[in-house]
Amino acid sequence: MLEDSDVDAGMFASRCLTSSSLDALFDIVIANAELRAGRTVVRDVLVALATAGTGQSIETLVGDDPDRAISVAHVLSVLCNHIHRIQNRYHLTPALRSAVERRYPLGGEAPRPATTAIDGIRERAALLTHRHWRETA
Amino acid sequence: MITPRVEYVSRQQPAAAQGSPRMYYSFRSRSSGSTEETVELIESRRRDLRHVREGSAEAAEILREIGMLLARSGRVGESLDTYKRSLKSSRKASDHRQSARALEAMGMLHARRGDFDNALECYFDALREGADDPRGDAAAWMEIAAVYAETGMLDLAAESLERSIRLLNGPSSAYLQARARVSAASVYASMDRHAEAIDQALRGVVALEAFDDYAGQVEALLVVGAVYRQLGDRTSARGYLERAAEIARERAHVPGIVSALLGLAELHRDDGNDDRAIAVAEEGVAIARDGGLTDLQWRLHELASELYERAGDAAQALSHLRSFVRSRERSRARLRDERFDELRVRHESHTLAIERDELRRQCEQLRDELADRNRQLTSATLSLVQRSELLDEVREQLSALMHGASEYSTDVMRPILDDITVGSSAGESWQMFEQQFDQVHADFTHRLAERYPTLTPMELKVCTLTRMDLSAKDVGRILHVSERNVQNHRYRLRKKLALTSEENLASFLAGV
Repeated sequence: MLEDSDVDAGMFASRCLTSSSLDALFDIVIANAELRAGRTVVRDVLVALATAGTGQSIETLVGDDPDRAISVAHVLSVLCNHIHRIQNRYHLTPALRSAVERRYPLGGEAPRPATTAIDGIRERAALLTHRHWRETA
Repeated sequence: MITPRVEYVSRQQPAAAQGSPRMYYSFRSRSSGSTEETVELIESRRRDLRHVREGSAEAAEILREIGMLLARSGRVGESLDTYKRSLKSSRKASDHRQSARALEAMGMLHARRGDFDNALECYFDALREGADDPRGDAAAWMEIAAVYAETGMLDLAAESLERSIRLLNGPSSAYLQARARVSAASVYASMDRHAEAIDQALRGVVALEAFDDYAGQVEALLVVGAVYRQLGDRTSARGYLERAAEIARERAHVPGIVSALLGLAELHRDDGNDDRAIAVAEEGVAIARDGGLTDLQWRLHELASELYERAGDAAQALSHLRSFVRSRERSRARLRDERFDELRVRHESHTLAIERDELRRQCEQLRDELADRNRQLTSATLSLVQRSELLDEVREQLSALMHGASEYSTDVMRPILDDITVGSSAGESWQMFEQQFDQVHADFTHRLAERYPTLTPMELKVCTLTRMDLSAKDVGRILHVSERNVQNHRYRLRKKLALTSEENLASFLAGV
């Protein structure tokens, strides 16, 4: 959920609804997730899920670093409608997988720029991220 | 924020269960049932209505609220009548937006009763109101789409939803647009327009997530799950259905839980995982039964029966088959009862319309008769006045002649003069007049005499003539008394009738 007032939710929703394509929509979704949960961990989780054919367990996603558990759980929670858990394994939905493959080339190259300008929501997303961390700290 | 007034609920079409699954859509009526609170609220708003003028925008709004409350408590006929009054008031006040809302509400009631022709007529009338309200128009197009979808006209439903989406621009309309897109996704899914269905539903999911609309998200996720199942991507289908079930469970959204479980049970069956499918179907049956969701319940029984039969458990298969038949019968009986009620209401309203027309005709006839009697009465009264005037002249002339006449002539003329004086006020013509007057004015004289027994016959006569709006001068001429005398009678009358100085005697008598 992305709300602190109807107007802000309306702006975000309006942007999603009028995005030019599903790719553009998921650029917004990923950018929003990055700003809420942290760019690195979002990229790591998404890339890990995109490269695993049969999904990943939470243990694999967290790895050896227990400090990552909260960050990973946060990513999974933010993207819960697009990362599905089936029998304790997490899978990307086809639409999100396509966006991840385009945004984070799985060969380990630098991320490509988004097809849609997302600057319009940066300010609001930064505000939300700040608020979120303040509330969860 | 406008709350959408239509909820689509995806269901498996029974006939298509063997072949490629298709979806179709139905209205889900809002919660109904009369509660004390609603009844109290209706009375309270009715009291408010007394303080505003009927025909004003305020009255239109209050009436629309009352109509909504009546509809919520299941008093559909009263609700429709109240909406009609609201429409009349808002049209009188030239409040087009309010008129459009009343029409939309009427359309929704018609649709709920399965009267789709009238529902569409109301919605299109709402659009024709020219309320200059894009969000209101978009909502009307959504309702129109719901009717088209319900009646299987999916092309028109899709077109209507596209119109609705085009009308909704900007952040303030984003919520409604998201709901419209989810509805469009449902329709596209049933038209096998898979890519469009997924596109619209996913946009809806992301947008409705921002508004924390869990029911909308569940609906959209169910659509995406159903489409992926049609496309043969069972993992994605299962993921979306599991997610829909998860949200629905978190928010105790019973129709969402059962719909998701039905989809998941079918997926497990498709995968050949019958044990899991049976477990999910059984869970769905229990929840549907507790939630009173008959339509979903019989589908789950049908599925469970098929699964048990495949598993070789004939007893369970038979038990579910019986439950399937019973619950489907209940569901059909409910629909039949609703249809019967609808026909009964229509028949009653038709009979009432005929009676009303007959009463109106009789009323017009009586009105004509009354006007005729009044004309006769006026003519009789005028004739009385003229006769009195004539007799007055004759009496004056005789009096003048008597001055210079001989004693013999005076003796002859005096009785004639006395006869004229007595005869001019004689009761015969007055009785005739009184009879006619009482016929026209429903026993006015008798009622007055009964109510005020202290009134003298002369005062009763003054009252009768005053009731006809005659001046004191004319009353005096008819009764052969002076104008001053009439005024004195009227003064005494006011005292006997206990009238205040502000009250008009003629108006008071008109109300007797």
